[in-house]
Amino acid sequence: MRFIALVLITSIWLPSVLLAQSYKPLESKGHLPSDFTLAPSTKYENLVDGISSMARKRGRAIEEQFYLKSSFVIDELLKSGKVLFNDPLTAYVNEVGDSLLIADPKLREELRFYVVRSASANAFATHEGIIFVNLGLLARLENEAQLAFVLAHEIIHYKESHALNLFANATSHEHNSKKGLLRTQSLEKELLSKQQFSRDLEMDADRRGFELFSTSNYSSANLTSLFDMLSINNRPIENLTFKGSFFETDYLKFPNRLFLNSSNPADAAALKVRNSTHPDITLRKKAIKNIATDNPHYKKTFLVASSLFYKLREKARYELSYLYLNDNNYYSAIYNSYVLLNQGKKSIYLEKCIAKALQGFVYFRNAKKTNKVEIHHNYVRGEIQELHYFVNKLKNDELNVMALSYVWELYKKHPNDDELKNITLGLFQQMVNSHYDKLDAFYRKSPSFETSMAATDMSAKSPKTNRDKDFIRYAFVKYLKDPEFLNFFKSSKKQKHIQRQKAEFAKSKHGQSIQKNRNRRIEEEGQALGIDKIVVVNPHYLKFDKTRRKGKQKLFIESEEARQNFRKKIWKHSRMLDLQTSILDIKNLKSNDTQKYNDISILNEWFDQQLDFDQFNMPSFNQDRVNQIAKKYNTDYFVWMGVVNKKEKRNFLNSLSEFYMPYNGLYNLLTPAYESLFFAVVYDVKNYELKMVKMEFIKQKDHSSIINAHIYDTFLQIKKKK
Amino acid sequence: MKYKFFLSVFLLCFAIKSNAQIVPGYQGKRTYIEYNLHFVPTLLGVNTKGSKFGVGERKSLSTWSFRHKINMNYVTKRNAEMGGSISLGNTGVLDKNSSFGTIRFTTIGFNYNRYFVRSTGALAPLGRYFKLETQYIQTANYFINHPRIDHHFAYLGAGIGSRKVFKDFFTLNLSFQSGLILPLGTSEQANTYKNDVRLRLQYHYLYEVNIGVGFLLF
Repeated sequence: MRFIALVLITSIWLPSVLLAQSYKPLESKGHLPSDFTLAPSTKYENLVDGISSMARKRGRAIEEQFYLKSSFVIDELLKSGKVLFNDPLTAYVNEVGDSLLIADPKLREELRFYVVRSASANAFATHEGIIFVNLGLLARLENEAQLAFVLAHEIIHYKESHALNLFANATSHEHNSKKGLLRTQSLEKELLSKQQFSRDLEMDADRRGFELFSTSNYSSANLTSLFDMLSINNRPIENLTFKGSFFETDYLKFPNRLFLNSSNPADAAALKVRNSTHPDITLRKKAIKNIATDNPHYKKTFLVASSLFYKLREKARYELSYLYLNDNNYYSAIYNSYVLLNQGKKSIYLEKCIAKALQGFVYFRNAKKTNKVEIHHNYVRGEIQELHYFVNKLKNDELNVMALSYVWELYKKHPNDDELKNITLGLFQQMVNSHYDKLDAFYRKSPSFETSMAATDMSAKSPKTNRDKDFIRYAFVKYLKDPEFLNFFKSSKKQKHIQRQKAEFAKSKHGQSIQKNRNRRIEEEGQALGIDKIVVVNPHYLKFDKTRRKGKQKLFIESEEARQNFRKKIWKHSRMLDLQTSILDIKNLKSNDTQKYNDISILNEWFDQQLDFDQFNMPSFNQDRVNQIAKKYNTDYFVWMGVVNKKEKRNFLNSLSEFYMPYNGLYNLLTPAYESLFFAVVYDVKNYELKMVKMEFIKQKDHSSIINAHIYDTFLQIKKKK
Repeated sequence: MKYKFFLSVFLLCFAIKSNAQIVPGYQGKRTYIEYNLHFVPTLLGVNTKGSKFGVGERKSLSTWSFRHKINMNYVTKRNAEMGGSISLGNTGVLDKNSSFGTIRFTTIGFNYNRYFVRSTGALAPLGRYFKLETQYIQTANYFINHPRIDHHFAYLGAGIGSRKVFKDFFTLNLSFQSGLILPLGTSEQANTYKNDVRLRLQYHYLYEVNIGVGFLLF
């Protein structure tokens, strides 16, 4: 008996210890499934071929429209890089799917399960038979049976074509309101009626999902808590009291004003979302309780393996910290890592997640962009509220010093970690630039020592200390004796001096005139980056046609074709200029391009984060992985480029106003208005430095020659040396 | 000799300067040659067919005056190009005594086009542009019962246009321009009919529409 217990404990505990020590982010593996390689137009055509020839004309039209829109939208998700395949989590979800549908192998064959790298607790089904389960859901589940029930619920959505019904319902509402049949109804009533339909479908999926669930060998004993979890999308994995002492050191102690006396309970029932597409949680729970029967002994909570479930859930929970960072939800990133660290695990990955979240707070706050990252504690419930209160109450300088103190300790533990070194240097730079550029601001002696020696100690310039205000002035007592700390400070100060000199010069008359000339030169002559090798990531092409009433389906397909042509043009022009170019296009992958898929996924996240950090030079949270990709492709320069083309009806009066130009006025009167945007963004990914932005608004049709000219111009500027 | 030397130095400096800049042209091609047909309705005047309608009879609107121009342009910046042109045209004129004369004129011109890069996304030689042109015009006037008289004029004009490229090789240009004719030369013989000819040329150059086709060279 003891032996079995030992094996069980070891099987759960050992993998989690190993995971904590060397966590590797989740990646897709094996071959790309056909869902990722097929063009959306092909998927659409296949679906349209499957529509019954007996379908009524209007019904058929709605179905076609639905297939078209959803095929392209789902394709966007599949090719966003957020979807995982052949990884341990997806493999596990598929295994649970197998166990659930053991009695219906035909239905199982129609379905594909994928895990989506998203922090929210959600799952959804598509008309193509793909069921997506968010990683945030897997991280919060309590057992395998709960996952099986979620899958059963989604399978019913697929089986009963709920998405199509919802679309048809919305279309008919739109159709009727256009005809004026619902003119007497208010907008709110119409919205409510749509939501009611959606809620009915959800209740149906619960009920019939449970029937399907009951055909399997899963036990329904622990199902109801699932609804509490689903009720709040971003509910923490555990409701653990956050202690501010987590960030305290021997010298950095926080005053009481930073702590909340009591937090609001994280009560799901208290949250009644009026305008939700999903029914009320209590109703759903009640409905399931009503139909739940006794579980015979052969019904189990785990059919695949409990140890595997806990191991994978742990993995999902680790991943969640990064996903929160990616969403700029720094509170949750800190709290999630804090909870996992409090479970007794030591993980440099989690500690780095906290460091990065603090770094994010500091950069955004110092740039006065707090609205992008801060959430008032009144808007959150549960123990995480304490963290919100704590961070929000810290002043900008206090937060910066606290973050530096935490990261410095970490860096000293892992001095060879380049990522930590960069974060530390960045925080130093922020502190010197925005708050303290002299170390005199910090005490060199401990509080007790200072109180007694205040009269004689020359370095303590402020003997009358107010611990509530001055607590951060003790933060570096220990570090100020460390030569490396002093060196980092000195180099940050030097950097600030250079930046200030540059800024002063830029403000001077001479500097302004130089800048003006430079801008003019760039406009007339372009830039000369002198780069020989680039990687183009996801070349983009999108066409909008607002003049079309019928045949809108061609629009999606035209965009797809235009994208292929755009890719060909990129190849052609890079060859013309002898610019070594690799194209990473997620929409043009073969089944063995899984590594490319992973690389694109990492690069996309990196790029999205850089767009958020446009006000300051901050590394993305997956910088280390991007550095590896740069090394692999042997270049630091990555280009995101594309075209967006819009066609719309011309304003008659505007056309007339241009009539002074003989052919232009007439031409404008007879033709629709075209507008195209050509963009190219060149990044030095290793130094997270924006090297070039080319953004051209072209008031013409996206004629091939215009696109050619701009691609050539972009590549010429990249290639040409000064 | 002195002028030739200065001209050579100027062209050399210009070539070095423009070569140092990053100018994409169209796929690296910065020079193109174009045939342009300039046409204008014979408002307030006669054209070369005026003789057919008898002296004193005015024809307008239903007939056109043409000018045939060959020009060669070189893209100097992302948003600018320069070029030279020669053109040949003819029209008719009625003097104050209502005697009809044919005007044949040849021109040598220089033009500077600036493209609207910022507002329309144009990149020389492609897209919408603003044009400045100057020409030296020599006319040969053949009046009935009168020996040929030559006159000299200068032209200063401005216009707007748009150029497209097809098949990465052919160019299509559409533009409209207008300008002023200024007299040159003062000899007594040249002054005969000069005002009539100048006025007729002014009408011709007042409002010119232009369609051109050409191809990219290098």
